[in-house]
Amino acid sequence: MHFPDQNRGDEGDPIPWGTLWLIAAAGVFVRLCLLWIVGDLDLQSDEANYVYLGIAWNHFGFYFDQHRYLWPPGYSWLMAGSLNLFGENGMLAVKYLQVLASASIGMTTMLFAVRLFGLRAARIAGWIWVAYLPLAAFTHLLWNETLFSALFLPGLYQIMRLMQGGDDHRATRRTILAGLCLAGSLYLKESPQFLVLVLAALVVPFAGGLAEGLRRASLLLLVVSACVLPWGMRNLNVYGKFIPLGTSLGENAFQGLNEDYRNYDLVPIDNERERRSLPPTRTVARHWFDYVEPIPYRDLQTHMDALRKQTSEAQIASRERVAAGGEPDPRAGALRAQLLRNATLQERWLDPVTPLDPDSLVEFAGKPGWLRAEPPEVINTAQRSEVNTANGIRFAREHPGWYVRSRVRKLADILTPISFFTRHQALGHYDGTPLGGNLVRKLTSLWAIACPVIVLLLGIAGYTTVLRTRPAWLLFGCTLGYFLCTTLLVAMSRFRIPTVPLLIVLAAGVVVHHKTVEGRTRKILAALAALLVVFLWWITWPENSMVFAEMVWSRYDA
Amino acid sequence: MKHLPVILRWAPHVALLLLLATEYQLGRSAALPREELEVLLDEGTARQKTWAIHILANRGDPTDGPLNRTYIQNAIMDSDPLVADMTYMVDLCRLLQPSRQEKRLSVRFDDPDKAQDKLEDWFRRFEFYRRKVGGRPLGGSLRLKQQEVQWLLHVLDGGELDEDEVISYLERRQAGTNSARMHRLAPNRKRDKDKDEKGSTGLVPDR
Repeated sequence: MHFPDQNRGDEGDPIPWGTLWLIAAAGVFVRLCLLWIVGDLDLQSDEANYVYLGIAWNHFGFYFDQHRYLWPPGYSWLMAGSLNLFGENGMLAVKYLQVLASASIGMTTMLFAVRLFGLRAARIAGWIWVAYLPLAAFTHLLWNETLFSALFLPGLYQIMRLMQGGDDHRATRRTILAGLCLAGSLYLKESPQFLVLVLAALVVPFAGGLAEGLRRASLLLLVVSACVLPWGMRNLNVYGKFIPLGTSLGENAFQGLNEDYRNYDLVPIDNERERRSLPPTRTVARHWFDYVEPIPYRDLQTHMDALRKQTSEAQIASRERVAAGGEPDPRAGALRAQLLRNATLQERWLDPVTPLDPDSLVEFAGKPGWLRAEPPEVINTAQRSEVNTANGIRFAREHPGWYVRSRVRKLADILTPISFFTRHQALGHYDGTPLGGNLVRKLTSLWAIACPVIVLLLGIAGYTTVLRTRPAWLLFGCTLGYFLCTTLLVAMSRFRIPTVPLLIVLAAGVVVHHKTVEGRTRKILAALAALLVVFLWWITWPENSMVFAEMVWSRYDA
Repeated sequence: MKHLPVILRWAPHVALLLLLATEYQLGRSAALPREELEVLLDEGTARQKTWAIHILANRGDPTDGPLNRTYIQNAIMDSDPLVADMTYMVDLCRLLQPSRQEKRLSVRFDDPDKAQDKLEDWFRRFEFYRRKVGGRPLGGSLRLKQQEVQWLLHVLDGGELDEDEVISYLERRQAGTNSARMHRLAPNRKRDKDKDEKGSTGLVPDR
């Protein structure tokens, strides 16, 4: 049996492939049953966009951007191929493919666990994966998380094997395989493109020599580059800018580095609440974490000058559009209204008598948000992304206090116990299927919340207590940390999905080896980490409990 | 020969560098200059024309290029449906305000007798245009639904549609949307009282 002190891969027990495949088959069966139960659900949110892009690709023969985003082409390409092959059943075919591909996630989860914590932990990790409802639910949704994880995790596993076995005679093959898997995953989701650089750097010190380390790291980067370059060249041809796969940075900066707080776990829920005349979730939120602090008085004139300039430019551009036969730019009107309102408030502030109403300053500074760059100011999606990113960074610099507070909120958003499964239940997307039935809806929703609650707490405890070898500790730390860093821009429960299998491994490790934990420091660290997670749940508790109570537990029509 | 194993260990790097160089060269040679794209725009096949439009609308500064209002207005009525369809996509619609396209789509709701496009052509363009990532990016509540995907694939396969069924479905969808911008364009319960003045679906006549 492995002990955490060893965590060493090669010297362990032989891998019981039969058992692992059996558990993986059970997981696939559970996901298949879920797919059969819910059937071919109607398209929601980005699902429809992927289908649109797939149909357009088939019709026109190339890939369109999404106006504000330039997603990597992988998922839309798959959708296009599937629709081409299976017609209207193409969407269902992709879901079946996702169910099958989820076996890769399950197997990799167990392989991580068997290498780090032994066979018993692997079995436990496997069964947790089988029963982890929020992860399973993604196999019957047309989001790319399942296929992304099915490629990303095996790549990560190969990196861990490289880091564990310095003199591994299969190092070249492992590196190429890791590169192919990671590059494949990047075609589905570009967010970990910088993580590849981190992973390459991690390989170097564990290769048994600097030269060999550099050889492996450079090979990994070359494999990924060779896979990514053709699409980057295509983007260079179309947009005049080398974008390796895609870019969401600008729009994410608009959403995440701006005045209005946005969390896509809650946006469709608030739309639905508005439709049903229910108060928005913002009415109960803890606003300390996202209010934008007032602008210091001495900066007001500078802001007003900037706003005047921006308004004037927008109005001129708008007039030119109208003269060319187009419609007026709605931003010009919005900016003008903002300028008038702020000018009125500024006049009040310049009165010799100090205004008695401090809210006026808050109101004045309460609209410092920025508007998206739109044509004709920008030409294409790549340029729009650049301008929006620059605006977002400027906004964050101007509001450092807000930035720090709101990132705590973003951290809470990514670690929130809700998931797309509970969001679907709250929005009634499962209504009409057995999952939407009153009792089943309540039970499955409770289960879907229990899964991340248990795995997050145990996983974090596992990282601080039972993960003791440096390679695994670094690899898991860098990967989990990298995905947490995405909260520097935007956050929602979906963004943590690729890290869930790693947390499951750590949770299984702590279940099996918690008795071997020695030393107060580790225990104190684990307790502090768990407390931090509980604190983050407390931040999102008002909205989550409101949605769960009013939209999941008791329905609107109850 | 004692260095052979060491050399062989770097062989994948050499192969990959060669591959990268080849990919780069192929990528550069596939990138057509603006002049050639403009030739394709005039003389190419429908596929070549749409690809040329895609690049010319995105690369460099397209404002003084060939994709001007006259070109787009002609392309809307192009005899090849693929080129006409392209005028309803995001590339051209963000380049110049798609007021002509908007009118052509609205007329089927407002005054079906004056509709210029065949129902199937119209439906295809409507779906490509008035959807979240389409030519006119409307609110998230107007994304594709399964029913529309089914009809769209049917139309793209050369099938025919039932006008009453399609129009009543689309009117129901648009009436139920949260999109403020769509409410300016679509029949809406809140605006039923103004229906006579504004027309049922299209832009307000005097806008």
